[in-house]
Amino acid sequence: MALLPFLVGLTTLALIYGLLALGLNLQYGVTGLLNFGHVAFFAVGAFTSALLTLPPKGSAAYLQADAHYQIGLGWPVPVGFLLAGVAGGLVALLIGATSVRLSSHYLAVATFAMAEIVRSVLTNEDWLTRGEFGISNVPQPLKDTVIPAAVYPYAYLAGTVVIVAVLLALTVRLTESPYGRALRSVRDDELAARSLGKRTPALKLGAFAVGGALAGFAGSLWTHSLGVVHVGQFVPIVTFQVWLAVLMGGSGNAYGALLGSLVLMTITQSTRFLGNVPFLDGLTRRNPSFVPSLRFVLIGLLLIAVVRFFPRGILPERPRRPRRRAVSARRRAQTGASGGSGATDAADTPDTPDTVSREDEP
Amino acid sequence: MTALLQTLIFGLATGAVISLSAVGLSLSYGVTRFINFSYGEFLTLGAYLTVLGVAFGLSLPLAIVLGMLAVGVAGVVLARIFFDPLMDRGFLALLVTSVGLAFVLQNLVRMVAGSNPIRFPLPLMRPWHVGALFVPKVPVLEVAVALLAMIVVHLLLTFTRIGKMMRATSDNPALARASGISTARVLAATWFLSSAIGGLGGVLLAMTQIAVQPVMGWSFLLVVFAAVLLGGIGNPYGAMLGSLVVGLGIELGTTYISPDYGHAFAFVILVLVLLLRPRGILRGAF
Amino acid sequence: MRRVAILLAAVLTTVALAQGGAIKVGLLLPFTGQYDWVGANVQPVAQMIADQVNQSGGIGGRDIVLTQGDTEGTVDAGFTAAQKLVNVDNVVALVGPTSLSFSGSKQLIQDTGVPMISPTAGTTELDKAGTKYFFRTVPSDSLGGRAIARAATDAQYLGRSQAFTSPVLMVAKSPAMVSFESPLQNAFQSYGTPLKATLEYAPGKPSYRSEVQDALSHNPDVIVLVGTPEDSVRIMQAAFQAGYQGTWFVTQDQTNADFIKLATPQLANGIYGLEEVASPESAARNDAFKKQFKTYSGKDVQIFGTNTYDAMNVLALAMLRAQLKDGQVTRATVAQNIRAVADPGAGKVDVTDYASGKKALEAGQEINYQGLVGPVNFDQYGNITAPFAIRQVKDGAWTDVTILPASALQ
Repeated sequence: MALLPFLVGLTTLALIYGLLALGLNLQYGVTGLLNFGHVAFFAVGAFTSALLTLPPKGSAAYLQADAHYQIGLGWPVPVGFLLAGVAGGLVALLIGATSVRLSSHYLAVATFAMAEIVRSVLTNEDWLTRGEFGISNVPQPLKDTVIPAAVYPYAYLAGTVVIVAVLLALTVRLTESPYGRALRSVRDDELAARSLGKRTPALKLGAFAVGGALAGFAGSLWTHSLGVVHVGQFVPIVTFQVWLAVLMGGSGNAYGALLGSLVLMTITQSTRFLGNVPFLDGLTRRNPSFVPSLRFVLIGLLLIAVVRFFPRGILPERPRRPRRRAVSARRRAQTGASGGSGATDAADTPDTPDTVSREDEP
Repeated sequence: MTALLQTLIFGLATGAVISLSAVGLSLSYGVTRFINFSYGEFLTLGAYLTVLGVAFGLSLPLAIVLGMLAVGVAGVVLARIFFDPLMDRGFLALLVTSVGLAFVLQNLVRMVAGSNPIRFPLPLMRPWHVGALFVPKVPVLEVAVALLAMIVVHLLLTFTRIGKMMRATSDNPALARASGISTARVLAATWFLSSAIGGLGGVLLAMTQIAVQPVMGWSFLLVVFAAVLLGGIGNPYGAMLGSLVVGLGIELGTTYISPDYGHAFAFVILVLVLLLRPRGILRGAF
Repeated sequence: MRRVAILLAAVLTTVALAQGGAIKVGLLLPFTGQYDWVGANVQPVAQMIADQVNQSGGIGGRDIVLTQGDTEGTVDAGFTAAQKLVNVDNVVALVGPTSLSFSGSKQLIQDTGVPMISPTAGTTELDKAGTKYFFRTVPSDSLGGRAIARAATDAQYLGRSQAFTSPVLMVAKSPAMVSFESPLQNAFQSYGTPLKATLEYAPGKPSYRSEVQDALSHNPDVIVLVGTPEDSVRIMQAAFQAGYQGTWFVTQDQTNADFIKLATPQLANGIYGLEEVASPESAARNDAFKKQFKTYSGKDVQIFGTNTYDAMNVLALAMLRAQLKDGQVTRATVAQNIRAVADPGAGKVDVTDYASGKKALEAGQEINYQGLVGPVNFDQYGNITAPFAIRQVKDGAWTDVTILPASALQ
C-alpha cells in the first residue's frame, strides 16, 4: 500500500481548500458577509492562471499535446499565480459591488446566483475555456526539467505549504491590524460601526476582494497541481465544502479555517473506505449507488451535527483583548447580536430570540 | 408574432411550475426566517412518492394527494428533529443544517430508488390548437393546479385561524408571541403547509420533465430561489409574481438570446432586479 | 483527528484481511451527482463478468474484486477517487473513467502506469490522448458522429426511399455530449447535406419547449439528438406537442430498451438509433448477453452495458494471460497483455467471452477477443473502430435496419 503518495496528494488538495477557507473566513468569519458564491473566485483564478501560462496556440508544445484551445500566453507560472489572485479579487470586487448593500438573506442567494452565472459563462464561452471539454495540458512548473515526475507531488506539496503559510501569515496580520478590527466591528455591530464613522460598505468590499484574491490563488494552485482546468469542477458543492471547513475549524480564526479543511478532507476521503467494508460491499450488488450515497448521507449528517453540537468549531476565535471582549459581550447581550458568526457566537448568547432580526438589517 | 405568443405561453407554463414551489418556500421563510436549501428535496420526495403510489396501483390523483400529505408530515417531522432545536441559533445555523439535510435526503432517495430516471406516469397527450398556436395540455393542467392551490393558500391565510396566526407570526414574531399565539403550533402548521405545497410542486415539476431523478429538486431549487427573492422574501404573493417573471425570462432568453444559457437567465434577472430593488419587486416581509 | 486516524487504520486493516489474495479492479466512475447513472449502469455488468471469472476458478486461483471509486461528477473527486484506488487499494487496473473524471486523474494514472479500459469515455478529447496504458471499448464520438451523418444522408442505410435533406442538430452542453458536435457538423458537410442548424442546449432543464420551437423553425425532416435519455425524451415530447412530423436520429446512449420505456413506444416509434456491433453474427451474441444479464440481475442492459461487457472481458483475459505467460498479474503485465488478447494476429483463435478465451489460453493458444461492440482491436492510441448497426423503433422495440460497415466511414 502506497499510503504516502495518497496522503501527499490529498494534503495538497486539502491545503488548496484551506486557502479557499482562509478567504471565506475573512469574508464571513471576520467581516460577517454571507458569501455563497465563493466557487466563482476559485474558478476565475484557475482559468486565469491556466490561460496565462498555457503554451501559445501553434507552438511546439501545443501541437505535441494535440491541444485545441484558442488562448494561451505562455507566461511564467508565478505571473499566472499572481494575476490569478488579482483576477479573483477583481471579480469579487465586481460581485461585491453589486451586492454588499443587500441584507444577509439576499446576499447569500445573490452570491450563489452570481456564481452560477459565472459557471454558465465559463461553460458556454468555449472560445475562452473550451467549455465542457476542458483543457488538459496546463503547465506544471519545473516538472521534468528540474524536478523528476516521480517526486513531483512531494515538491508540489512543499511549494503549496510555503505559499499557504505565507498567505496565512499575511491574513493573520491583516486581521490583527486596525483594519481587521474595523472589519470585525462591521460583523459585530454594523450600525455601531457606521455611527463611529466607519465606511462599512468600503470595508465589506475590501473583505470581499481580499477573500476573492485568496480564492483566486487557490484556483491557480489547483489548476497547476492537476495539470487541467475544467468548468465541471466549479459547482456549488465546492462552496458548501468550504463553508463546512470554516464552520468546523472555527469561524473567525484563520488557523481554524485551515485545520477545518484538513479535517474535512480526512472525513470526505475516509468515508470512501465504506465501500471496502465487506458487509456494505455486498449491498452494492443490488444498487451500485447505495454505498456512495450512504457516504453523502453520513457527510450530510456530520454537517448537521457540527452545527448543532460544535457551534464554535475546533479552534474557536480567540478573544481579542480582555477589555474589548467585555465590551463586545455586553453589547451582544444588549442587542442580542450574533453577528456574522451566527452559528458560532450564539453559543455564548443563549438569550437571543432576536438573533435573526439583527441580521435583517439591510 | 406567433413565435412570440407561443414563447409567452411557454413562459406562463414554466412560471406556473415554479410558482407553487416558490409560494411554499416563501411561506416557510415568513415564519422560520431562513433560506431552506433542503426544500428542493421535498419536491423530489413528492414526485417519487407519487410514482410509488401509482406503482402500488393507486390512481394518479389519489397518489398525488397522498404524496402531498406524506411530504407535509415528513416536513413537520424533519423540522422537529433538525430545525426546531436550532430556532434560537440564528439564520446561518439553520441554513447550513438545511444544506446537510439536503445531502441526506437526496442520497437517501438514491439509495432506495437508484440513480436512473423513472418515467412519471402520465400518458402522452396531443395539444389543443388555437389558430396557429398550440397549447399543450400538461402545462394547462399545471397552471390550473397551481392557480387552484394558490387560491386555497390565499383563503387559508386570510380566513382561517391558523392562517391568521401564521401571518401574524410572519409580520412580527415577538408581537405574535406576546398576544398568545403558540409559536410551536404555528411552526408545525407552516412546515406542514409549505412541505405539502412543495410536494405538489414536485409533482408539477415531474409532469413537466417527464422523468423523476434524485437530483431533480436540488437542480430546480435555485430557480425557485430566484423567483422567491425577486418577489421579496416571505411574501407569497410576491413569489407568484416572481415566478411569472422568471418563467417568462427563461423562455424569452432561450428563444431570443441563446438556448445554451438555460436557467442562467433567471439569475441574471434576479441580480438586475436586486440592484434596483434590494428587497425584491414587492418588498419582502423582511 | 486521532480518533479519525485510528478509525481509518482499523478500516484499512479489516480491508486488508478481508481481501488479501484478491486481484483488485477499480471502477473509477460517478456513482453520485449529476452523472450517477453511469456508475450504476456499468457496475452490474462488470460484476457479472467478475463473478464468471471467479466461479471458473479466478485468475490463478485469485478472485477478481471490484472496488468503487466515486468520481462524484467533479474533477477533483475524480482525482481523490483515483488516488485511493491507485495508491491505497492498489488496484491492478481501472474500468473507467468518464471524460470528466479523466481530467482530474490523468496525471496520476500516467505517472503510476495503471492500465485502464474505459467503457464510457467517447469524447474526442481522448482521440489522441492515449498512452500505452489507456484503452477504450467505446468508439470515439468522432466515429459515432460520422456514422450518424453517413446513414442519415444515404437512403440505403435507412431502409427508406429517400435520404434526409434538412437535418438539424440539437446537442447538450455537457462533457459527454458536446464532443459529438463538430464530428457531426463536419461529416454532414462532407456527405453533401450540411446541417440546417445546430442548437446547443443547457442540459437538465425541466422542459425544452422554446428550444424545440427554435429547432422546428428550420423545418427539419430529421433532428439529430445528442443528450441524456431524460433530456431527449423532454425534447421529443415537446416536439410532438408542437406537431413535428419529421423523425429523430439518436446516439448509442438512447438506443436501448430503457429509452423506449422512458419515452413511451408511441413517442419513440420510427426514430433511428445507432449501436456498435461487431457483425451480423454478433447481434445474436448481443441478444444472448441481454438475456444472460436479465437472468443475472433481473434488469435490462442499460447504456454502456455492452461496452462494459467487452472492457471487463478484455481485462480478465489480459490478467489470465499475464498469469499464464508472465507468472504474475501486475499493472505492467496486464497493460502489456491487453493488446495481446484483443488485437488480431497470425494463428490467433477468435474468442467471444471469458470462458472460451480461458479454454484457448490454457490450451496454449493465442487469442483475439471479438466483442459485442466490434472486433475490439486497439489502434496506437487505444481506440477501437466499430461497424455500426442502424436501428429503428418499430412496434415498441429496436429492430435492425442495416449494418454500416467500418469501411463506409473512411
